[in-house]
Amino acid sequence: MEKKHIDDIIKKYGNLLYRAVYVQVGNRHDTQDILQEAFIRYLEKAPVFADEEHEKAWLLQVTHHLCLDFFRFRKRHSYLELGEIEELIAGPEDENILRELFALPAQQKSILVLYYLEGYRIKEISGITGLSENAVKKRLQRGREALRAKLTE
Amino acid sequence: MTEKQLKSVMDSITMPEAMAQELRKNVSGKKQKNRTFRYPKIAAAVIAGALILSVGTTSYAVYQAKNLRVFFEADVTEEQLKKAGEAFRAIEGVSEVEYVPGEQAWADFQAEYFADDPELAQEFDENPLADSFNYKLTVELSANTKEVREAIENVEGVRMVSDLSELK
Repeated sequence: MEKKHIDDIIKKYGNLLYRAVYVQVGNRHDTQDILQEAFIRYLEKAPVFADEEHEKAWLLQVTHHLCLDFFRFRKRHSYLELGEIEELIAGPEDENILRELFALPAQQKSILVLYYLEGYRIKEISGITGLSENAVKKRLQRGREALRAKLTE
Repeated sequence: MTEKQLKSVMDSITMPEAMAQELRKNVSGKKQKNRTFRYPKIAAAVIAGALILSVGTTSYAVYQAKNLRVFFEADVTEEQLKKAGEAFRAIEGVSEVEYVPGEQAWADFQAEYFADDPELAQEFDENPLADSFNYKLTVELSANTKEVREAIENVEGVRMVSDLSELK
């Protein structure tokens, strides 16, 4: 029963959570560790969700905080597996976008990922990250500006 | 670059099937992977304690009507930290600003959790809470806490603001 349950969760949210974490930590090794921890917590805590959106937001919130903990307690910045990027992208322009995205400060990256991945609005991102809506807006704006500036250089 | 391009690039990032299979196997058995997250049990306790500290505990600070702890992103610079302190002092309603370095956070944590067995602290070669530096802010009773909190969150480098008076 538990195995089927985790199968369903990985199928439903695996890609979403993978993207959210991978863009922040920059490599598959650490991404897998963080996702494993998130799914284990999901099973152990077994929260009751009002609906699928609630479930998704919960998982995003947990992975978001695990990423923050990762940066704090590993006491190092994420390292980027360049070889992995090349597998993902269609062409040089996409590679450029991805590289510049990875290079953004963590606080901007995490907000951009939530905004563009599933179209979360400011208020929803505020709920997931614990930041005020104002802080979310500022980080989103700074992230977009930084990305645009880098890509038009 | 358009926003559509950015979204398209992000959408191209998908979980490799091998990872999905490994996650299904490990998570179902609730096994931790051998090669990563190799925290010994005591380190896991320190990390859990540090997480508790990051939202404040009764042992860490005296409760006052409005006491805030401000924690920062891991990549914040010394210069940003210094500017943050100046910014906090300039916020209307903030009466005191005290910087708590990571060493103090570790010292406080040891005093609380390892008082009975100081040797446990020797398990660590270095301060595991070095990144838990924070600012402790005292907010006047008459101040609008919501506005103060928003002003704090807008300061560059701030990751989290915790209100100690809300803890039970």
